[in-house]
Amino acid sequence: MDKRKYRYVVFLLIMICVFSIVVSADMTARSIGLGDEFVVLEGITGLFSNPASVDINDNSFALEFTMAGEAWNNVFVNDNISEADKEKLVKIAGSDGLLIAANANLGGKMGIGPLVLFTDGKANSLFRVSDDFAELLIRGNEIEGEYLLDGTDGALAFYLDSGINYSFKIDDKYLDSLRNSFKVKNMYLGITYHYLRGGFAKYEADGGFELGFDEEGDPFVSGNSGKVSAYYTDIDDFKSTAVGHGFDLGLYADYDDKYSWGFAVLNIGASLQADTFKEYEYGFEYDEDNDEWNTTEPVDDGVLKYQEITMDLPLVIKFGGKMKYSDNLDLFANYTMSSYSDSIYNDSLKDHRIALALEYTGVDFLPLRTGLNYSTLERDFDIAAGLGLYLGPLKIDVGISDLSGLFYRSKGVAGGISLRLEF
Amino acid sequence: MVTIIASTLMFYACTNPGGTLGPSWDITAKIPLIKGTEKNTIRIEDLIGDDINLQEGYTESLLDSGNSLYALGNELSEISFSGFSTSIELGSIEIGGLIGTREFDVITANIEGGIEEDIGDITFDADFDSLSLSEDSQEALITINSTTGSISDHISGLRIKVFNNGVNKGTLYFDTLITGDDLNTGVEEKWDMKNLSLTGNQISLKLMVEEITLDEEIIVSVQFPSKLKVAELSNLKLTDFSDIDTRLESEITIDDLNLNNGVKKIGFVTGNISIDISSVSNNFTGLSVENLNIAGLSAETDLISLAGQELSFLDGEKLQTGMTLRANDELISFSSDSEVKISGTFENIGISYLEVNIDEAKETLDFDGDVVIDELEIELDDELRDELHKLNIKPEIILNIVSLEGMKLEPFELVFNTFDDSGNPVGEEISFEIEVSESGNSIIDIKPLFDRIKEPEVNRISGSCNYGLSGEEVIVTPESKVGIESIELRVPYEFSLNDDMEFTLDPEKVEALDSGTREMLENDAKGMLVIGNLDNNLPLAVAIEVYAVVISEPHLTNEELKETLYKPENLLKSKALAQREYYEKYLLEIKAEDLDIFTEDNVYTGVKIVLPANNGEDKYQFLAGDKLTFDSIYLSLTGHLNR
Repeated sequence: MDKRKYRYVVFLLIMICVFSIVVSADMTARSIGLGDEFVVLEGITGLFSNPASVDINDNSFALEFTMAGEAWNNVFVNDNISEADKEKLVKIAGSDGLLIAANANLGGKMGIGPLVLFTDGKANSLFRVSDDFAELLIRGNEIEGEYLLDGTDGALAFYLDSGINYSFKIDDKYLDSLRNSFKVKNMYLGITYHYLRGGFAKYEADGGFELGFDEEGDPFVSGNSGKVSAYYTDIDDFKSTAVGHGFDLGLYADYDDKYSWGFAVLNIGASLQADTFKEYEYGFEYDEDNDEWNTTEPVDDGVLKYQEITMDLPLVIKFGGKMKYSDNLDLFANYTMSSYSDSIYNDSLKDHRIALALEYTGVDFLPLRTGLNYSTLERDFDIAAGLGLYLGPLKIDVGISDLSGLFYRSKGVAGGISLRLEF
Repeated sequence: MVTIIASTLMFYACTNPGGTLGPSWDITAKIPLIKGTEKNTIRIEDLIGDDINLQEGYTESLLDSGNSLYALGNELSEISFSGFSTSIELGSIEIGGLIGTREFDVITANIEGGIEEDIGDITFDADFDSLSLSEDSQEALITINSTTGSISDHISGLRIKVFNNGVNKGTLYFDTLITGDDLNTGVEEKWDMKNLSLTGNQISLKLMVEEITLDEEIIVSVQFPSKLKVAELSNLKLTDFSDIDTRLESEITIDDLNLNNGVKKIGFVTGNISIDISSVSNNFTGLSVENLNIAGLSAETDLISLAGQELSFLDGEKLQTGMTLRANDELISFSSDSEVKISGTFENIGISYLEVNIDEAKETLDFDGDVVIDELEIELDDELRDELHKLNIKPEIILNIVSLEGMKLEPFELVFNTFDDSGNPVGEEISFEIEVSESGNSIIDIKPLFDRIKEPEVNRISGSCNYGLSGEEVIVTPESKVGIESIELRVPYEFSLNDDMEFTLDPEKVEALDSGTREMLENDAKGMLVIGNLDNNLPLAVAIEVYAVVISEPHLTNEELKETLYKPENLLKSKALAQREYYEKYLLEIKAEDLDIFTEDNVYTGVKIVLPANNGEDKYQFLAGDKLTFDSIYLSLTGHLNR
C-alpha cells in the first residue's frame, strides 16, 4: 500500500482540527478567570451567560470589548506521554473518539440602561476523530488490525453575532404572588435576540485501511474504500453567507442579601442557514490488483449545490447560584449542559460541566478570581484564575485556564481579556 | 503587566516538560513481515519426527502384533480324554471288635507231665461261618503268671495248643524251664495268627507240660490284636459296623488320553466325572463304597464336580485314586481277591489351566521361536538425514517379552539387514546379542544400526529374531501366549548436537516503506525488528537470525528463495535466545542505514533458527510440547511527535 495516502488523511484531519482552534464562543475574561460562564454573573459581562443579569447593577452606561478563546481536547495532556499513559488515552478515545474543540469571540457590547447592543465575531467548532484513527495517532498501528475513519465528523461555524438584550427587574407587586410560594427578594428576567450571519463548514469521513497477515501468513496492507466529505458555505464576496437567528432567555433571582440563583437557556433555535453550499468530496479507492490507492477529487474547489443547508448551534442550559460569603468574597456554583445536535454528528454529543469558583474583592481595584470545573466531554478538571484592574470606571479583566497545565495535566487552554467602561 | 503575567502563565500551562507546546509522544508504525504460523513453529518433532513420544523418545514399531506370540496355552489345552475303568482288589480288611483279651485260671495241682489239659474255650464276639486271616503277621500275646510262685518251683516243657473245630491251628512253645520267679513277673509268648483259618467262632486251648513242681494256681491270659486283618470271611455277623478299616488305593489309567508331555495338573472351570462303582467281580457282600477319592477329588456321591478343581497326574497320565468301604449289612462275606470295579466318564469339560513342566513339554510342542521383524521403510528426506549426522544420540531397541511365571524366554540374537530402494543389500548383516532382563524385557543399544540408517542409500530395514523356551512348572491357561510381543526402535529424548542445526522459515515478501516513513527514519526515528510473543520453549539456547534481501526475479520456488536469502551478507540482525525463555516483545534494533532495503520493492525477509552444537557436553532433554513459537515478526518504526 502507499502509506503516504493514509498518512495524508490523518494529517489532514489533524490540521483541520488544529486550525479550528482559532474559532469560538461566548466568553469573557472574567468568566474564563472563574472557570465557567456562571449564570449568576451580573452586569454586561454576563450577557452571554444569563440575559437576565445584565442590568442588575443598574448602571446607566457600559461599554465592553472582549477578546477570548479556548481550545481543548478530550485525550491529550501537555506532557510527555509514556507507553503506559497511551493505554489510558486509547481507552478514553474508545468511547467518544478524539474530540477537539475550539471557541473564540471578539467584539463589543454597549449597554444603556436595560438595553444592550452587541456585536461579536464568533467561532465555534467541535471535531471528532474516529476511535480507530485516534488510536493510530496515539500509539500507532498494530500489526494486525482494521482502522476506519467511520465516525469521524465535525463542524465549525464562524459568524457575526449581533443583537440586542433587554433585561428588567420584576416589580414587587408581581413578585408578591411568588413570594407566597418561595422566598425571593429580587427577580430579573432577560431576553437576548441574536442575528447571525457568517459561514460554516462540516465534514465527515469513512473508509480506512487494514493490515496484517493473510490466510497463508503473508503480510498485507489493503484499503477499505471511503471518502472525506466536506460541506461549506460559499462566502466569496459575502454573497451567499448563512443567516440565522437565535434567542437566549434568562432568569435571575436574589434569594436574600446573601444568596442568588439563576437559570438560562441559550441558543434557542439558533442556527445558520444558507441556500447554497459547496460539497467537496475526496474519495479514495483501493486497487486490490495493484495494491495502491486511487483518489478522486472534484474539479475546482468543490461542487456548488443549490440546496438549503443548516448549521445548528449547540443548545446550552445553565443554572447555578452565588453566595455572598462576606463583603469581599463571593462563591459561585454552576451547572451547564451543552448539546451538540447538528445533523453532521452521527451521535449527538452532550457536555455536562460543573464549576465552582470564588471571587475576592478585598482590594477594590484588584479583584482576584479562581475556579475549578469538570467537563464530561473533555474528561478533565480545569483550574482557572483571573484578575482585574479597576481604575474607576475603566476596568480591565484578564482570565486564563487551565493552570493544571503547570503540572502537565491540562487538556486545554483558555484565555481572554476584557476592557470595560462602566458607570 | 497583567496581560504579560497572564500570557506567561498561559504559555507555561501549555508546554510539556520538553518545553514544546502541547503533548509530546512517540508514535510507532508497525509493518508486518512474518506471521507466526504453524509452519513457522520450530517444534522438537522437526528434529526427530512426528511420531514422537517425548516421555519415551522417538519410537518406531518393528514388530507389533499379538500374532507373533506363540499360543502355548492353546496348544497345551488341546487335550482329549473320555473316561476310565479300573478294578481294585479289596485285599485284606482290618476288622475290629472280633475278639478281645481272655483269661483262664489253671490249677496246676491237677496237671501231669505229658498230658494235655483243657484250659478253656475262646469265643469270638461275632458269629461267622468261616474266617481266614491275611498273610500279614498279626500276633496274639499269651501271658502266664502266678502271684504265689515259689522260687524253688518250676515248669518245663510248657506249650499251649490252639484248636478250632477240633483241628489244631497252632502250638505255642514256652521256654523249657519256667521258675516261680518267672511266673511272678509273668511269662509271655506271641502267637502269629497269619493265614489262620477258622470254620467257627470258637477256639479251644489245651495246655501240656513235661514237668511241673508247682502246685499253685496260674493265670493264662490271651490278648488278641484289636483288629484282625481278614483275608476271607463268610457270613460275619457284626453288631458294630464301625470298626472296619477298608482303605483301598490304586491308580487310574484314563481312556483316550491325549496329553502333552509335562502336564502335571489340569484345572477345570467346568465339568464332572460321573462315577459308577456298581460292577463288582468276585462278589462280596455286606460292604459298600463309603468314600471315593480320585486324584485328590472326593466324591460322596456318584458325581465329582470338576468346576474349580484340579486333577493331578502321576507320571504324566495316571490318576491316584482311593476309597473306603463301609459295612452296610449284618452279614459280611468277602475274600481278599474280591475286586471293586470303578468306571468314570468325563462330562462337559472346560479347562481353566494346566500346570506344565516346560522343559518336559517343549519336546513335543510345535514351536520354533522364529520371529520376523516388520520391514521398516526409512522415509527421511536428505535434509533431515543430514541433520541426523549432527545428532549424538543413543538409539535402542526394546523387546517386550511376554512370559509366564516360572518360564524363561531365551532370545538369542537379533539380526538386521539394510537395503536400498531397489532391494539390494546395503552393508553387512548387523546382529545384536540379546540378554533378557529380570523384568522380562530387553533393551539393546543399536547405535551401529542407527549409523547405518544415516547413510543416504539405506531405504529399508528388515530383521529377524529367534528365541527358545525353558522353565519348570508353570501355570498355563488356554489363552496363554508367550514370546516377543513387540520390538520397538526407540530414540531417547536426550541427545547432544555434534554440529549446529539450522532451521529456516519460508521467505516472505514485504511492502516497501514510503518516502515519508523513510524521512522519519532519517530524523531520529528508531527502527526495530520486533518478534511478538516469542516463546523459546526448547531446552537449548538458540540463535535467531533475521535476513533481508531484494529478489527481483519472479516465480522463484521456495527453495530458490531460501537459497538466495539465507546468505551471510544478507544477515540483518542476529541475537541469542536463552533456553526456555518467553519474550513478550523480542527486540532487535536495526541501524537506520540497514533499513534502506525496506524502501525498495521485492524485499524478502526470513528467519533462521540456529541450534548450536554442544559436542556432547550436555544432554538436551525435551519435554512434551517443546517448541519455539512466535506470533509475528514486524518492523517497528518509532518517531517522535512534538519533541
